Amino acid sequence: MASVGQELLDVPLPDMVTKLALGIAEAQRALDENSVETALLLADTPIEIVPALTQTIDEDGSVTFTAADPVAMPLLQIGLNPAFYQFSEASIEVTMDIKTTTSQETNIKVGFKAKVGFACWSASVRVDVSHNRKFQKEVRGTSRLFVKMMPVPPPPRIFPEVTVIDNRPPAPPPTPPPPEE
Amino acid sequence: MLPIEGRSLFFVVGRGEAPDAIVRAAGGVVVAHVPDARRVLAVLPLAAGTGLRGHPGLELAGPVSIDAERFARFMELIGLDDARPP
Repeated sequence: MASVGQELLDVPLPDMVTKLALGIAEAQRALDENSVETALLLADTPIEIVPALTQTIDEDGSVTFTAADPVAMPLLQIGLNPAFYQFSEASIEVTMDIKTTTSQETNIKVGFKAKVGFACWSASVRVDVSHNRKFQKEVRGTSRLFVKMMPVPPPPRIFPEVTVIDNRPPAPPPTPPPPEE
Repeated sequence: MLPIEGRSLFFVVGRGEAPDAIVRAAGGVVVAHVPDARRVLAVLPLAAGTGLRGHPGLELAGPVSIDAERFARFMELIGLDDARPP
């Protein structure tokens, strides 16, 4: 029967670590794909923005608003970005509960029989030996996987660079206060 | 005020119809429809949001964040910032 130490050595730890690593790599790939897909949809989802609103106050005090023609901008351009997550930590916890029991049982039964008659006699001895040896082994094992995810900055080249060219005339300089006389 | 502890912002796109009911069933809250009812921004528990991947009623459920710098630049562009009053 294998010893407890051998049982522990037989735990397929390298196999478990490999499977965990492959599982994390697969999950990471799925997360990244989802984020890239989100980026594509954000870039493909325009919303209409009213870029300017002019408020006019007439001489009689009435106020009117004039809205500029709306322009379409994708959600990505207004600052809605896909979030990227990364597995930052992973650990395996293996717990084993090994119980081995050995029991041995020997039964010896001796019987003696003798007969005496007329000028003859007989005798017999009967010995029954039974030998039982029992091995019992219980192995219980549990394994737990912990993974930790954290948000990471998106790849810098995934977003288009936005350059704003503002052709509006510069605001007039503030009027200096009239000189004191 | 919406509690955001353990939650994240998701861009959820319904497959053919509005995903509001699916978001609510996952414990989330729809915060905006952009620009139509089929596409929403929703605040969801992170695990629930990632669990919506592959939902038959959804085209996409992806985590998003707001780029504060770009959003501020956009606000400046449309004149809603404090730097340049209209």
